Amino acid sequence: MALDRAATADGTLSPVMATDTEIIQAVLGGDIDQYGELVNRYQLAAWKLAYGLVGNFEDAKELSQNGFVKAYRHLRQFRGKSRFSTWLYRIIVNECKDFFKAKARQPLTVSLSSDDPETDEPVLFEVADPAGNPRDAMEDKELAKKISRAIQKLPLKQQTAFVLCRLNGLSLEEASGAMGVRLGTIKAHLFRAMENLRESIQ
Amino acid sequence: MTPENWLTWFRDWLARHPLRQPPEFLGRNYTTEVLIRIKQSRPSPSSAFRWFSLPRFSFALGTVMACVLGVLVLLNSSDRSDTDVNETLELLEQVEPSGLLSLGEDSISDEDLLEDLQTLDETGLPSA
Repeated sequence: MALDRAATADGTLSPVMATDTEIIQAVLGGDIDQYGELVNRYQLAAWKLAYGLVGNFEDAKELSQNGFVKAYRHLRQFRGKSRFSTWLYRIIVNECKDFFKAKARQPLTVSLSSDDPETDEPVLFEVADPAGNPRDAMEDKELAKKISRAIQKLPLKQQTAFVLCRLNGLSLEEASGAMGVRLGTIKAHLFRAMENLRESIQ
Repeated sequence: MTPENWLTWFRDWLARHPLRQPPEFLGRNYTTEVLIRIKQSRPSPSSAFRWFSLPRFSFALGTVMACVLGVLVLLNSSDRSDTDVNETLELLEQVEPSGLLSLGEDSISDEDLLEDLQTLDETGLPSA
């Protein structure tokens, strides 16, 4: 049995050795604390996905945690046809959609204001260290702002495809699973996103 | 810049500028918060019956149940009495279809009554 392979000598499940499926079986069997291992494994990716979409540290934390809680509640519905991470990303994408609906999609003026204390504009990316050439650092930061602004202005489907594939490094197949669309559709969203970004940035 | 050049430049730029790292809240605290939220949201076995232990709720529930029962009993008895009367009338109608049960029709005329009284008068009362 799969669980036996990951079981330690005292019969408990070894989180480090266990696969996602084994952990899920243990959680469904009543061992809720094992779910913490899944949270440990995917919290950074989940947070990055939410952050790339909403552009705010605290909102990203809240939405990604909501995703984990919702995934737990519906864990019995997870059939294992896709990876747990893909299923989780889909839940988080839906959480972010609901977030935008609730906030009437105003990320630039409302939700991103606290990330950069100097201005009210979002900077999604790490920028050059100001200790180097200050002029380069300034230009780098301006460009980072411009790109961040352009990403946030993308239509939501294009933005989601871009964040999943370009910022979170998902494959096209994984991204199509996370968005619940066909492979061709995700390619089209990604292509249009890149075109829109090119027009915005140049 | 051509689209191809731009794509190469942009990918290179993204490689040098990763997404900003989250502050300290990720890690063990993040996981603990998720687990706490999950455990708090789980319905405990006793929670379904917790309301019944509240006196105000129990009283209100008892009152509502009594009212519902009372209304049901009244409706039931009213229906039954109506049904009984209708059945009796139908039965009597079948036994005497000549319309004797018709309440609006006077079955003995005044002339018949007078005739009966005269006959009685002529015959007399033997005991008198």
